[in-house]
Amino acid sequence: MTDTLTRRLIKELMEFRKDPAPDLKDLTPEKEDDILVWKAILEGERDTPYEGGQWKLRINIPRNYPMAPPNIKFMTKICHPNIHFKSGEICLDVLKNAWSPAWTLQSACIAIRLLLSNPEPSSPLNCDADAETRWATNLL
Amino acid sequence: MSSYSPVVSGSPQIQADPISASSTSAITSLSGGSIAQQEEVAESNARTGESIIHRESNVSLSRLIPLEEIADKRCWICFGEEDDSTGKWVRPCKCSLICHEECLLNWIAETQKGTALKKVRCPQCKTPYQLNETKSLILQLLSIIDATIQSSIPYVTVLGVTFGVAITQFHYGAYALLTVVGLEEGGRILRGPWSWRMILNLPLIPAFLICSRIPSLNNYMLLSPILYLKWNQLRISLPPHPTVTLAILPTASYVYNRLYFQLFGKMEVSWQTQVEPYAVATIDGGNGDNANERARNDRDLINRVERRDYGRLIVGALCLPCRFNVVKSRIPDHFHRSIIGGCLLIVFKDAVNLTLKYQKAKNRRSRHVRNYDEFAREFEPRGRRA
Repeated sequence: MTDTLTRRLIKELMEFRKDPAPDLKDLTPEKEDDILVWKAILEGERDTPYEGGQWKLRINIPRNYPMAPPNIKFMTKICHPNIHFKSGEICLDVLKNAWSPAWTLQSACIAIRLLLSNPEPSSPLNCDADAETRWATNLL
Repeated sequence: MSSYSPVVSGSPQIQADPISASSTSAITSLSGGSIAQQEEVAESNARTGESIIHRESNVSLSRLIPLEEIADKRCWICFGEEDDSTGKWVRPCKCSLICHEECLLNWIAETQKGTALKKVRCPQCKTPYQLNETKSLILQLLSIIDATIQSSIPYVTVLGVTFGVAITQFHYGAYALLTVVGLEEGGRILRGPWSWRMILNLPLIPAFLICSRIPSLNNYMLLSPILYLKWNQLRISLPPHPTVTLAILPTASYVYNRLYFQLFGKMEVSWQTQVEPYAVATIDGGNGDNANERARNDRDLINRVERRDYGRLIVGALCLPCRFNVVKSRIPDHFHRSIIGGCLLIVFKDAVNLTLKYQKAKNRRSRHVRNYDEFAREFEPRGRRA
């Protein structure tokens, strides 16, 4: 199992190097000798409040990846309804029960970037940010 | 990358992934599309996802490229290709995702972990995977039983907790009854045939007691006799029927509270203000435009400053029955002795409370801060004192 896991992760790394998604500045294993801990750097999308910002993500890959989703957390503080302000935990369906092996680390990071511009106020992890989003939406 | 694109986006069958619009856009981006394109695809998929799937289900077999003719095969699960992996290739659905049989079986097993009967579908085209397996009746039966047990756990838990609370309430109600009515009479009532009124009201006793102490719920308590009063008990007698006495209590309590407020409210508030001017400032705020509003503010003040401690309030309410018996009197009827004792106790408690407030205010008025030079000598070392 570990063998196929390593092969898949190396292929994912090569794919990112060959054709990186815009707004995803970095996606690599954090240390040379441990392929199960990755880091990613996400850039804020243009025309959103996150424009100009950079956020570091830590990706912990379980042994049974890609059968189980990777555990992704924000290391940089971010104010967003679906992201826990202190722990950086992300509430996103594809990182939980909507996961399938068709997703990759890169596509999961892109899904997180899309979550930044399309918050989901119905399942908040940060209630203050959520209340502000709702309030702002009501104003519009 | 190049090996991935023919598999996913190169085929004519690519279409919406209803998991989420973002997933499609994520996969399109892997094939090198620009952001604008991605967004367009994602949006149009979100809008027309349903209809596309509907159309896709009519895909004719002839349009599918045979498995053997796909040049660079790549497993969508382990990303293994023909030259670096072994295993039987399968194409389980109508879209372009192909994989190793072993990988797919692992994924199906992983998905069915909790619920064995769940249909596993292709994440891209949502075709349910079809398996050829030896069907065993015992396995199916056991799986159904297992799944039922698994899914019923939350309901059983809620049910258990509810029963636990109800039983506690029953016990408390029985205890309150025995204390107030006396052991002999109470025992007779508890042994005797149980009417629906008994079954309904006994567990409600703790709720009644707590409600009667919470100011905002107090007014609803006036209606509570509906639950236990029978029409034929409405007779005037001396001593009154115990149920009638009980029914009078909420009204008596209401009248008493109004009276207490009229007589002592102003005093209590002024004493409270002297002790805690800041707490009063935050509540009083505008200090009411008219007399009515000011009165309400004052009452809020008493309620909120003094009774905001709900733990104390609930414990106090539940301890009420056991304090009923403290007061001894010569009334022969145990029930009425308890009730009158309880009422006297409440009046006594309020009096003590008022005294405490008065003493606190008085103490506050008498307080002065000593200047350091007044007591500095007391702290000086003995030797240095002349």
